[in-house]
Amino acid sequence: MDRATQGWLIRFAATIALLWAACWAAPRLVANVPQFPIRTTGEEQVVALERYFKLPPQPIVVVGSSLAYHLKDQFFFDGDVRNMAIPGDSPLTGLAIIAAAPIAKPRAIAVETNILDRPLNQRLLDMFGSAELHQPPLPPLRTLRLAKEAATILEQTAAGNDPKAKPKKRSR
Amino acid sequence: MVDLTIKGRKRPDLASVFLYIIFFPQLVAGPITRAENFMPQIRPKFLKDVAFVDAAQWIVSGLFFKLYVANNLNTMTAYLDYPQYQVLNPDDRWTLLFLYSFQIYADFFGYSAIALGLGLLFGYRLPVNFDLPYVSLSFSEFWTRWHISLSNWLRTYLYIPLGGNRRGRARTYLNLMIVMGLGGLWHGAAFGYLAWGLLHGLLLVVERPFLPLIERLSQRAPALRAVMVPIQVMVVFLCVSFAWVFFKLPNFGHAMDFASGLFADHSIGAGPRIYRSLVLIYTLPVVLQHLVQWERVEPYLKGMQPYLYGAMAVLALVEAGADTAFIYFQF
Repeated sequence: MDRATQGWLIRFAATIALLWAACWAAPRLVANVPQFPIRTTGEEQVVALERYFKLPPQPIVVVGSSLAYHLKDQFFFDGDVRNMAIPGDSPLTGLAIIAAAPIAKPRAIAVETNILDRPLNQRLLDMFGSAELHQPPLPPLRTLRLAKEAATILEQTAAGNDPKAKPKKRSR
Repeated sequence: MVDLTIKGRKRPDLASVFLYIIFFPQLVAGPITRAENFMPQIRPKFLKDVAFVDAAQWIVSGLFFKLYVANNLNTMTAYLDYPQYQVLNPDDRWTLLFLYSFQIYADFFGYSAIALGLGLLFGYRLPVNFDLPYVSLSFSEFWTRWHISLSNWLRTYLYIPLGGNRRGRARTYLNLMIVMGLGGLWHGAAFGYLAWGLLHGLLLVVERPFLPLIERLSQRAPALRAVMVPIQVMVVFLCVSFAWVFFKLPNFGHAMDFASGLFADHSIGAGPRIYRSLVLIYTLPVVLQHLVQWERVEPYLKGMQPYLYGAMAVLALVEAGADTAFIYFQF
């Protein structure tokens, strides 16, 4: 291999190492990095389970499918419920993750079963079976895009034009 | 293989034949590599001869176009499938159809680029399969830029044996329709694929009488050419994108249902949220690749290349869309 090729490959590898390290470190160094827009059920599932491990534990946990997933934690008056229902998945997955994770178990588990024949999702169990938080590296472009959207919403809110109050117009 | 003996070349030994057949970079989905191009490259290989930089550039480009562009666009164009497309209004249908044009290009270009790069690592140079197809000025030019190895194969083994353009105008048109129809069926035994091929055949037939006229006009009035070129590019891109309907929805009934919804609102229920800013950042690589005159820019970027390819590799990893198989793996 000639010197020019070696130089090219070294600079190429160094760029990868540097940028990868920056993207890996960013969400670990900066608190509350915005979650980029969720586009697939798979991403929605990961976010639902990340909440369970990121937020303070509660004595009662709800496991289930998309039916229960849409209930907000705040819906429960006492505020002692954590919803870890997984959209498009089975309560068996939620139960297995709670059983496997080496953290304090909830006092009670509420199970919603909507579709009975969905099996355990081994992929999610492998990802979340340990208590260590799954934290992927930062996707910089999507994060920038979300920051821009957040700034727009803040501007609109400050101007007294709450985007959520707009009738039916679809957000782009 | 038969060509080799017809052209009087030396018959290859059995080991070379097996290597040609099982050479994995091009085994699954092309580029279609002819024996006459591959066989002469079978000889002892040495590490010092491997074009590592070229290979890295092709592989990184391929991964970037597949993981960053195609897979991210796929999460949006999933709504073109049946029955999801029924919630799309005409605006969203057109938007997603154009996005599918970008996606299928990025997906297949990505595969071909990875195959080419892997081939180079083994010391074999596979044919380049795409040459900026979306800046074609005509449909015939499009087919010299899109899936070039298949187009060459169809021309050599179907169009020319059928008589090509040597047996009069009517027979030329018939040959074009036959070749493109069979080219469509090559992708799968569904009426939608046949319709896709025949539509391309029809476009080739319709444009044929006008091409010399446009050429003459362009030569006489260069100012007119400046206006004509973008119009021609847009017409070709629009028609090619429309034809992808039959490719995305091989069920002919679904394709027609989708196509009619492009012109009249038949949508039911709430449509998807299409983030236009995401659309922009995911389609930008294809747009830049097609519109930037790289031969002019390249001298300025030469020193930057390893850094740019490094950034592309990282973006392909951290900004990758959800895993999906290469589109052409199904054919």
